[in-house]
Amino acid sequence: MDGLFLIDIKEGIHRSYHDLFEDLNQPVYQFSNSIEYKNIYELYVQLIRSLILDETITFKETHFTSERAITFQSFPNPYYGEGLAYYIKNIRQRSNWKLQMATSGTTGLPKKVYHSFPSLTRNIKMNVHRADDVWGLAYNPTHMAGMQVFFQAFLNQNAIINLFGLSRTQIFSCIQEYSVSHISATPTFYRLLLPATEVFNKVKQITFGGEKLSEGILQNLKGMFPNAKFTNVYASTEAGALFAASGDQFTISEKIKSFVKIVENELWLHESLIANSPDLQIQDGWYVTGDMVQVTSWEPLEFQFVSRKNEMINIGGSKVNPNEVEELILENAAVTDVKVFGKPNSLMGTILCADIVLQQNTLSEKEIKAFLKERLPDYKVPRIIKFVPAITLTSTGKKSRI
Amino acid sequence: MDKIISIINRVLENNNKSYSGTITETTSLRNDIGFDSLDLAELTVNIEEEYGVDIFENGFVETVGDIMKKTSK
Repeated sequence: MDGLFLIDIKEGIHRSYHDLFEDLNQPVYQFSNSIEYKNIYELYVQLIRSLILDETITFKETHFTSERAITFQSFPNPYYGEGLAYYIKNIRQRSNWKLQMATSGTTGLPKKVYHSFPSLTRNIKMNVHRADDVWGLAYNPTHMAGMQVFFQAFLNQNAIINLFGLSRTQIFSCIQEYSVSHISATPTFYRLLLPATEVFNKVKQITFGGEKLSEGILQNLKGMFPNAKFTNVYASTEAGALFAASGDQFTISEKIKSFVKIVENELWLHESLIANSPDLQIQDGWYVTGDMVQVTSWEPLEFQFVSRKNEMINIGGSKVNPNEVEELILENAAVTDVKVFGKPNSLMGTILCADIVLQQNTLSEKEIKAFLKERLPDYKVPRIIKFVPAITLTSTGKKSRI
Repeated sequence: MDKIISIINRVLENNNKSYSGTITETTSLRNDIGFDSLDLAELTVNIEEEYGVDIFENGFVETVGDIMKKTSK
């Protein structure tokens, strides 16, 4: 295969690294530092351009963009004629470049964080043995995990096969046709690949993050990907990918050992591991993650993740702030009180629920869902809605969300 | 079967979706009806409320017939 770069069967995108290089060398007269995600190829081209220019870039869906357009006579491309390997080598030396992203935010509005090139690519492995890797992209390309897959593949000049948003049948045919060797996805993505009706011998690495996969599901997946190594990773928009585990025991690499500590069963990360953000609270140089862990060994440090301290609800790998959803539901005049909470679910890890108190019976479940769907991404819309006479509070006067 | 179909229809209706075909035992929840992962999670909760069975516990549900097998045990 001649240096395949990107396949997206839904959008009909089929580009080689040669095509990419040609496109990067096209003259461009205007460069905007805010990218609107419409087409995954255009997104990557603009991202790479920002790296070449060493300019800060923002994904438009983050909503707090201050747009700035730069106009050129032609695109200043210092590497013209040097080939893509030279490009990539130089891209690695970017110092001013930053990518602005939004985190889901524990209270109120999303926070913005800035990632530098080193912080985004800290865990990217580059070597000659990776030359033939083929990556199945199973995350939204503009989210942290999707960016990690992009950089891992791009810096090794590997092919990226976009599996995000495809049906199970389409995913199967993509894995087969393009000989996907590496997949990184949420547990929900893998659950939806079952039942294991096919076997993919060429897949070497299966990575999942967030919640645990049950032993039964894991066994079934191992039947489907018999030659794959299974790895669990801890990653967040604030910190990127940090630790890995083969089961649910996380170990800390020598490199970042002194930047991680556990305080009262809570994970603290040193600020040098964290994206730069005025909105994140740093205490004496440490970021308190809100992730509760159970230490199984202190020397060397090993632990399991137990729960989140704050109220964020994890729906199939995407974080939902219940306060944000409650505020929207309360915009309906007929609603007097509401509680949004998560319930354990075998498919999504957690399913989002809402108990709603109505003034009169004037709203239906369908109407509330339609109202929210216009304003929120799908995963933030409660799927189980119950109309109740009153919302019960905990002894401290808070809404119990469990 | 009728009860399961009415639960499926309720999930479709609540989420402003529709399926014009006839639902039979071989109808695929994902490929035919077009349920996404969130729809399936909602369906699971509704089936569990009715039958007390978590159909996705071991991740093996593809068709309407699969649900019938799980709920008749």
